[in-house]
Amino acid sequence: MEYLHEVRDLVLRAQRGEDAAQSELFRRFAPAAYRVSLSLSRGNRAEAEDLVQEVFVSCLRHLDELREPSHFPGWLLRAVRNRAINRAVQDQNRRRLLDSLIEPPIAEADPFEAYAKEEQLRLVRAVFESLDPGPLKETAQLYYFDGIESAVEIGARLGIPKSTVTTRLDRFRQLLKKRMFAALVSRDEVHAGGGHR
Amino acid sequence: MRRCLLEDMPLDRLLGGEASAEERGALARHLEEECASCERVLEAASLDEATLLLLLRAPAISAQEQADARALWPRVEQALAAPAGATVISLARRKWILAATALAAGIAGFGVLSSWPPRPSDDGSIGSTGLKGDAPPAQVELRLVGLGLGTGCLPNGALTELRYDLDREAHLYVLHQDPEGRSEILYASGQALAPKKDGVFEAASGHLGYRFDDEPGDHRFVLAASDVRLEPREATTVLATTTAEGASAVVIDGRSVGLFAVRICASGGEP
Repeated sequence: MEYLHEVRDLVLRAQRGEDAAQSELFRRFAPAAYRVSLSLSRGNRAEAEDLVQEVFVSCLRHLDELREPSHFPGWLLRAVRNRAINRAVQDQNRRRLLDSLIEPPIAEADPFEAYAKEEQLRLVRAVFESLDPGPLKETAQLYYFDGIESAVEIGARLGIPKSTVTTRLDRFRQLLKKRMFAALVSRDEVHAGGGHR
Repeated sequence: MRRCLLEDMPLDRLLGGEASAEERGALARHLEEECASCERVLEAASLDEATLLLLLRAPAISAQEQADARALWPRVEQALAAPAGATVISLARRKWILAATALAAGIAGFGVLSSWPPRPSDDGSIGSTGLKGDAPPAQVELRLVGLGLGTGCLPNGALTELRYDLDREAHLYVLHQDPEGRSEILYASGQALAPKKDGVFEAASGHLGYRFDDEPGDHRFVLAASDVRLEPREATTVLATTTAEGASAVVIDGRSVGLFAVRICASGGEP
């Protein structure tokens, strides 16, 4: 994993306070962070830029808390998501508090939630259908489609220990992530040359 | 054994949408094959389903936007050099704050008396000298009530309730400035409120409160009491006129406005 070794080295150097390494991490990951920020800011460029700035400042300040340096890409993007969610919750709370003078409370459904559920379900189904009949498919059926969320209960139905259920579901999630990543790569291929402007 | 393409491909360029069409095409084909290494790479980079869904939902960005994102580094660098809690504000916000400050400095009929630094006297009341408004301002006091107050910085997620004292009828406005200098009106009374001791602000969803979520640094809350109703912009501008804590006052178009400011320090959460 040559590439992730590079990222790991950069993070370790940045953790030691090397400015060049921090700058290089930013250079590499700012576009991905911006892309997610822009999406979460519903296309508001100024908000997206602020979000990228805030998250990088926070992440670089707390970099020593990142135990596994190769986790940096996921850690950073989760921080973008969490901060955007916090902002949205704060904005919503404050909007409610503005009383009648400013504007009435705005009740709007989060379109991302609906999209996320639909998209995830589509991808889960695609992974599920690609599996040969067997224990993995049987376990995924109970968890994802029959709505049984307890590993203990799934284990009881299948006559297997809870640990076996979680191992199988972990395996399914690995396949799901790979399928999602493939969808991302393919989608970008379709969108090549297109921009958000 | 075939080499895993994802292992050596720059993940940042894939996530940022910068990989070339050739790279993406080759990788898309590779990902259709059985390859345990790919799964290990995704695991090692800590990319979970929620993050991948977000990326799937995010639109492609142009080369210019990728460059714009990288051009943010000086702002990040500057913020990193500043004390924790301070963040470099964006140009758009900086302009807005400058505009508010300019208004406060006397442009557009907005006057501030620099000779008015009233402080609470021994009995807690505010003096009335030095203010050139028609009448002395209403005297107000703002308090935040909640767990953890008075014990240093509030923990992340701390919830407080805001309460007030008011000595005579007035319109009340609660203004908040976050650690980055962004201002907002938290509360504005639709009509003048009666004098009250330890009053709660009745907002549409209940009593006015504030939750300190992931906003480390110093927060300021300013209660403004005006005999007449203020426009939202005027009310927001009041915030920029006072840096003092405790009681003070400003004059807007000849009308005096009583103020009471409170500063609260909050801790941050996980990045």
